[in-house]
Amino acid sequence: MKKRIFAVLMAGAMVVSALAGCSSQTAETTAATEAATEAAAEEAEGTEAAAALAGSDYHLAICIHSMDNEYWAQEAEGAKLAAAAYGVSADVLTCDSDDNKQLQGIKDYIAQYGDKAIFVVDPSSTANTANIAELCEESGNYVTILAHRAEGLYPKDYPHFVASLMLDDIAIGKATATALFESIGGEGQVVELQGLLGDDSATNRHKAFEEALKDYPNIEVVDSQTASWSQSEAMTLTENWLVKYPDLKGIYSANDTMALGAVEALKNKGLNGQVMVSGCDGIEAALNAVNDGDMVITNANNGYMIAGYGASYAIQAALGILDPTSIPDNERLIFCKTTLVTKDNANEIIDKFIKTKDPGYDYNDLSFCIDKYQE
Amino acid sequence: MGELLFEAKGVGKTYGANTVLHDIDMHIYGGEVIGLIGENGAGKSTLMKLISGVEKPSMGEMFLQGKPYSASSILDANHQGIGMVFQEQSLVGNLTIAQNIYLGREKEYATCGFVNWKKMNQDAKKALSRIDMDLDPAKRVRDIDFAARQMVEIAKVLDVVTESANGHAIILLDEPTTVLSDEEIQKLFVQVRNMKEQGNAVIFISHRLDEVLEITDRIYVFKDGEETAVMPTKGADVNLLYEKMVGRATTGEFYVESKQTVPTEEVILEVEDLSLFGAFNHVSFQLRKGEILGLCGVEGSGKEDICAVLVGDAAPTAGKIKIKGKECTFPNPCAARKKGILSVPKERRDEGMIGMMSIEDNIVISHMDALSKHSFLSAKKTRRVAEDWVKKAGVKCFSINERINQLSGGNAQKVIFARALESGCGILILNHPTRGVDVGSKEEIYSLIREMTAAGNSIILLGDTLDECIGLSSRIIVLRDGLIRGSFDCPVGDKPLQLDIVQKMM
Amino acid sequence: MKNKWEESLATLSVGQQFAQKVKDDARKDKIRRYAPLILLIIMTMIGAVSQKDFFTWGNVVNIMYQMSIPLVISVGLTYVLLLGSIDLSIEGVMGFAGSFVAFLVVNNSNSNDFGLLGIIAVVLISTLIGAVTGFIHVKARIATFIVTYAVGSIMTGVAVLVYQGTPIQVKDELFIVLSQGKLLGIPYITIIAFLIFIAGALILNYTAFGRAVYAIGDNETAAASTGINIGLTKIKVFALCGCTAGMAGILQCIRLKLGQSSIGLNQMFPVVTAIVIGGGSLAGGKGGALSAFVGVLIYTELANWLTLMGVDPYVKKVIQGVIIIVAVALTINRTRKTISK
Repeated sequence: MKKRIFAVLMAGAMVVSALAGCSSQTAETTAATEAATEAAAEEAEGTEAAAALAGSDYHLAICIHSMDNEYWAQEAEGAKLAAAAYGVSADVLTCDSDDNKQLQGIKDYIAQYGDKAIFVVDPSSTANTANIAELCEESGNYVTILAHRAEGLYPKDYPHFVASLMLDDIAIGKATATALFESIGGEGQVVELQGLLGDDSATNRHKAFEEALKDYPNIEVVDSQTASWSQSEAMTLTENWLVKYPDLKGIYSANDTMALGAVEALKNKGLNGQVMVSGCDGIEAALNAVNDGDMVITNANNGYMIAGYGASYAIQAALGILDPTSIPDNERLIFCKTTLVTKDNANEIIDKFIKTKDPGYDYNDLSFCIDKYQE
Repeated sequence: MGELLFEAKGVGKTYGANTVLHDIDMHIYGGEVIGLIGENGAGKSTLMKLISGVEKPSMGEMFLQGKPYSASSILDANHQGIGMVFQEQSLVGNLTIAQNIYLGREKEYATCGFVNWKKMNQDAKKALSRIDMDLDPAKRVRDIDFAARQMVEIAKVLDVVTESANGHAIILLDEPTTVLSDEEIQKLFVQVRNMKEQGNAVIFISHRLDEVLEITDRIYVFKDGEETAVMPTKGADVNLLYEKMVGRATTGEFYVESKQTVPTEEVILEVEDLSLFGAFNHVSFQLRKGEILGLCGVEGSGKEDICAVLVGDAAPTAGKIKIKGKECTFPNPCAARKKGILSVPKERRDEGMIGMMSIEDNIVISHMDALSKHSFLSAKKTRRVAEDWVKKAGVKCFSINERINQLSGGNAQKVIFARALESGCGILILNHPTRGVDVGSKEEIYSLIREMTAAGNSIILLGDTLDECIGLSSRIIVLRDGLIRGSFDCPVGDKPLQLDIVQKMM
Repeated sequence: MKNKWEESLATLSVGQQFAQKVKDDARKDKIRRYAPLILLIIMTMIGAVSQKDFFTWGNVVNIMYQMSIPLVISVGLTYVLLLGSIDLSIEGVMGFAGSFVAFLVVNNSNSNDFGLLGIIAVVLISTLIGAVTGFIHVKARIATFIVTYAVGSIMTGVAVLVYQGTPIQVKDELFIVLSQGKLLGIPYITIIAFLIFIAGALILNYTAFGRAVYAIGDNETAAASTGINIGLTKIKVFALCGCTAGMAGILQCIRLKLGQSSIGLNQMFPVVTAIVIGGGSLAGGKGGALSAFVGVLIYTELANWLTLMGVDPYVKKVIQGVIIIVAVALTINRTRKTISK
């Protein structure tokens, strides 16, 4: 018995050491990104010395869901780059999609830094946006809220709610769908992979697909199913479709993960590159797939843009560079630019977003991020 | 003696092929206390269940105050004036005393579904005071001690029954004194006499014959599901009652005494100064090769706990167990089996049989390591072993692939015996080996036990009846309150008298 | 019906009634045992009639391929459910195994190239995690529902730590061969999965360990009294479940070529459901390898058929739910007094 316990302990130690192995790897990568950030900061100090000095005692809190998703990680990176550009120090607060945890994190940060605290928030839920705006208004801290905004919540009602930056899901979905239809010559059988039923983005991207469809009467949508954002489910669905629809020309997917599932199913049949696949989000594996020709298009949602410029709005307001009350109300409601990725620009995007983790944006020029204003 | 309250004519009960109660006649008059005695499994509790509405008789008729009587449930019986205080307490620990007393009758206190707890507590207080109990009815039952719980139970039954049949109620008390102290017993007796004076009838079941003699007016004696005697308490004594309870003189043939082995000198198992806190203390004995050692004692005497320790179900707090001179400890039954001790548990259906598995699997399960090659079971070997045993033990079945729970009690027990013998363990603990087994199968099981010892196995026996224990054992140890009180050699032809052993037990 | 009952009451002795009841029970048992198989045949026939593409060789291979990973999960889960326990860590272990194997073989984020060795290592680690789970359950006497949930959550966390938020893309030649290669038209993944299943079935049906699992699941007290080592058997079962969950995670990674924690997401409950449809019981002691196979096949066929029919996604969920309830209602023994919770 004792021997057995010993064996178990030994084995446990093995696992731990194996994990330690991975974490040393992660430590390296973190160090690398920090180095990059510092480099950017130094650069910023060179060019914007005055601003850097002014911002040195301000603190930016980057409030996101978690770090275990490429897009959220990009948001954190983008906001950090922006903070460095202004010489503001930055911290990442994660909330694991928990409303209370996010609010508590913000309260603690205010308690720590008082009026020197600045916030850029990817809210835990749409409902939580109102609470966040109220909270920051009360304490007098500037905040930008990304990606979600509660019905009836407007920056014009809150002097410290600098701006709302969102992604135009409909426009993005329409663009990827259109590109897909064009790639198959505007006619033939197409299927749609929907996201999780009932989810906001899933609904919008489905709506976008149907709108794009109006301009292409010769496209026949033979089936539309949900794979609940899952690669595995998307792969299974695609396998089944390939049995039933041998003439399938294109697959519209509401996100990249599902698109990659479809690509794997096509690869097993040797049909990759022949049946066209479109995705959305711009995760690394999908960018590679576009580059390899397995996917025809994806949209890089670009966390560097939305979070970086979101942070810039709040920082400029805090530093007094920008007076939120002086800009027109509707100009505080922004649809952010995103980047469509096709084979033409895939390499460039991979370089900027993945390899160097620095898209090279000038965060002082706020107008750069604006695609259009929200209605 | 008052008017005739209850009458039973030829009442009986069968479970499947087993007859547990046969042709019972009984008369109960108002204002008397009736004693009901018999050994375990004699049928007392079954009769109580029939009267109190828990179960329905398979045959015969019952009359209550001259009219045919049948009860579909306990509650139904209560409404007709018959209430039973159960041996295993039927109170719900999480509810208060008042809630327990009025469990199932909350409607009387409810308006629009909301219960008036205050009124219920007041009534509960009254119900308790009827038996001189001064308890807070708002207390939870799990917070009061066993004696008080017993009294609450009695109060509950009294309350229901007197309400529906004032002065003509029949109260059944199933071993109410087991958890009570002497003082509390006297208190209970005062209440029993009270009830009697009000014209109610009380049926009193107890293992303690002295209590029965003290409180009752008439005594019914049961044995093996039959009524062996009815007598007035006046003029009866312990010896007479005991003789009636045991009934037929012990016949050596029944227990296959011709095959009783003379134990060798070789000590297989030695227990030294073994103690389990709160169960038994300083128990020492030796078990020889080929011997049947009987452990006798009433419930709670510690005999069950000794077995639990020996099979690895409980860890002793002190003392040593030596097998063939080597000291051993077993953290679980598996370790005990590997050292050569295996038990045939008491509750066959719950602890012995693996119901969904076949006869074959049930036989080989304790010996699978030996029947495997490269850890794969040899189907040929297991089948042969199982078929051998089915034949040897006389298991009546269509095939060895039948599920064990499709067998009758006696046949299932034979399968479990076959398992014990197949296991290769030299020390077998037989815990009530003939419990719930019909007479025919009993005899077959007895010969199986004899074969076990003839093959050199040693047995520790907890008999279903004292009679059985004496008949089978070659030596008997008597326990009371966790201590060994006596030891009897039982050679063929010179078996000790039951009375001698009972005196040590009580 | 009632008349027949009364008649038999009048004419038969109690002993005969008992024998009659045993016979009746045996007959009902048989029907219940074959119900899933009958359901499978009926479904297949309906499928073949309603969809011309359903019963083609291509789709048969397709279904076999799609049931591969659930089948591998079902191997270990069958043992766990037979015990009357549950293993909620399967999804976490799968996610971990998939992520970690992607990390160890040729990939886009580091220069590892352990190949087959990496696969073996991950299987061993997964087995070990299962064993530790079982050990905690047995020694600390914490309910499996809690222990396995906690371990699952730990492993999901570890998986994310492994790939740091960016799923690792597998570039290993071995993986590509395994995922795209075929033998006699049947994908390697399917063959591997069937081999794992057969091994699991053999162990369950023909070893002392397998018997012990059945015995414990049916009646743990009785099993203990027979001298079976309960604790060790349980630890072995969870080790085995960890092992198959790990293998399922690796197979999933081979299939998807992307190592991330969501590899295991929503993989376990469909298989639990499938096993119950096949005749298994959450209370333990019932079911087995073959019933798990039938259950998984029914579940996979149903999903495949609904997709081929092009049923609206919302309606599809409803139909799936209804069929699950009907299937389980057919196989369950309703004469038992307590309803299993």
